[in-house]
Amino acid sequence: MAATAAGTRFRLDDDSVAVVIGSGAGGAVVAHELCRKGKRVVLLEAGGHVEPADYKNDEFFAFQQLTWLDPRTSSGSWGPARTAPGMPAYTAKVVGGTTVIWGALSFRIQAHELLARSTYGNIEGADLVDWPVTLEELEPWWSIAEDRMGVTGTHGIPLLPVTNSYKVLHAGARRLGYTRVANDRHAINSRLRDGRPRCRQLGFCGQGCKMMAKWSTSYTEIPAALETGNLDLRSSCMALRLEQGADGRVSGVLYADAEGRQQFQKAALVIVAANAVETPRLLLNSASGKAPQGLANGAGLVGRFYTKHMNGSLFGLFEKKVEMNRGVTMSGTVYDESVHDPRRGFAGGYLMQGVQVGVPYLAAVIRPDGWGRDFTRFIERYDHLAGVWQNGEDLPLAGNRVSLNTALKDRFGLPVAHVHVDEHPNDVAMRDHFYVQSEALMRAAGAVDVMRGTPVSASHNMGTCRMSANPAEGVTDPFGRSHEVPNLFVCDGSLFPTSTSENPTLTIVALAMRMADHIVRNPS
Amino acid sequence: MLPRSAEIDRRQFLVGLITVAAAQLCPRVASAEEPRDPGTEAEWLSVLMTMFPHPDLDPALYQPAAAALVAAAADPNVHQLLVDGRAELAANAGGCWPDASPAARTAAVAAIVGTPLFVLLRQTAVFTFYNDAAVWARFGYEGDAFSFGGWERRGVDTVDWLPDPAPAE
Repeated sequence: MAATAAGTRFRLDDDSVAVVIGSGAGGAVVAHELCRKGKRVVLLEAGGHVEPADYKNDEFFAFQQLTWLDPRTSSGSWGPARTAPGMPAYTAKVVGGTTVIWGALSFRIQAHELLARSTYGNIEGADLVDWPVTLEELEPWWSIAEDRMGVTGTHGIPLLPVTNSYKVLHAGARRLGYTRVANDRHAINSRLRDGRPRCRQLGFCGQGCKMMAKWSTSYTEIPAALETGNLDLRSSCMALRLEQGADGRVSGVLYADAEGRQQFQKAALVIVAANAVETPRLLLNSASGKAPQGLANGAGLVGRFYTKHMNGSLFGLFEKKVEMNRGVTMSGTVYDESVHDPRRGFAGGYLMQGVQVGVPYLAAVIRPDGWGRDFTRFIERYDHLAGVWQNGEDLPLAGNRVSLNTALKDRFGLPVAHVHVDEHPNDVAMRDHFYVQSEALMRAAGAVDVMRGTPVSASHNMGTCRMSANPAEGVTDPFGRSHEVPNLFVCDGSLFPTSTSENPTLTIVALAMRMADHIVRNPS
Repeated sequence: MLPRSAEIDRRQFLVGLITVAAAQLCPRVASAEEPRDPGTEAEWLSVLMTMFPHPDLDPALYQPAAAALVAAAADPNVHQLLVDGRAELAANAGGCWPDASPAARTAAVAAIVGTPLFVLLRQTAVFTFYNDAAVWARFGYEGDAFSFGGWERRGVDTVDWLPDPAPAE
């Protein structure tokens, strides 16, 4: 093996390595943890390197530069099937994955949400389960993850400064009677930490943080893993299929390298962390005579129970200037509606978060079909607008799933992912509630008019390989190991049995750390 | 920036251009004998101004989007959309687009919402008109902040008409 800028090189026929597919929150963290513990890892990332110096404070430029633009298709009653049918999910294709473009809000899941089935009861038409992991088991891993990522309001880390967006959110929430409002839980440096500077409030968190103040695996976990000498990072390498040996174990990964040549990397174990749309697609595209429905899919559950959060937004128009662009993308959070209170007409809850976007995204994403004065009278007063975002628990349904669209192939000839979502009445009731409450919040802060934002392509993709202690109810065990293929793991939002009301990244990181610990303690 | 007098001249010129050229949006375009005309920049500028009306903006700011639309007609599919769309919009507006009232033009656009033509017009406006720094400046969107080091020292909390949250919040 030889050390290079991309780390160490392991041979293609070295069957002692772990292969991790995907370098985002799940993949890069589990790879780093395994490397730290002395395991040798090949990390395959479909995207290329983009240095922070090459990120740009420009929404459309960054979209072209960082987004997963390979074809996908969509159907169902949810918004993106109509407004963005070719892009149901908004994820990244770059070293660092979606941590390059995330908003950096980092919350622990609440106890009652981990017990969704027990707490919410049997909701007709939904397929709720409890998590097979308890709050007590997760707490130490959340704590380690918060420390690693530098989450404000934890481990003595100071909060970020108050921004215009947060001022509006806070004032409106307080006047409305909400009591739990904070600009906390940002995985964004409020002071020099971990060799990275404090946030200078560029306002382009979603376009790659040029200051490297926001935690992203591209300049934290990945270089740290490379320094161990145990990581072989192969960027611009797209995993195509996993091969299963006669013994039922995964023998390795077929991938296309940066030149488009197909390579086969042998492996002792494989961890799929390609985001909850591409992860099930890869398993389904790995069907064989031994696994005719797809790898790890004997129970027919791969791709099912897809959740993506209730997302939506509302923008208030104020008489005085707001200048929401001045400061982090996600400014702060109202926690009051993130409870289970069936008197509101739905199960589960949602967070309300201050959000700002620029004129291009306001036109393209927030109002993808806006036109006429109903639209232009808002956007032309951009500097008088403030936004609030919904992050709510949507219900898992067996029919909401990622499947293969065999009618549409990618450039490697593989069927693309098809994402189908029909909203459950509980989802609709939750969104309606948000629109009422967020309008009341904005008007309480002084808004003279409000504009509803459309639900957008999903960034919080979850559930498609859910964990369960029972092989009949989940794809993996409570540590993310396939019930059917003993050396196959899943390490991303696919594992989430239910979506909860919290942004998923912190828990993805915590589960990745816990998984690495489990693998090292339990060599198979 | 153009001198003020040149600015006014340019606006008058454009308004005149729109009026003259938009006359071609009259029903004769629907005639089978007419060449398959995808329309002029001035015609589409008029349609874009109806779809995305900003009364205080210089019409010249819509020109790049209109030009992008006409340039896109090099693609046969787009060409066909524009040929058909031009006739459809004229018909929807009561037969002649330039003669139609603003309300009739708006109704003509309302009738194509969701169609491939509408999507094309909207996408062109979003990626050109709403992505133009000259338009941003008129709307108060400040764009890039890295070039001057971010808002931290320039004022990230310029809202002085709402109470400050307590420090712990």
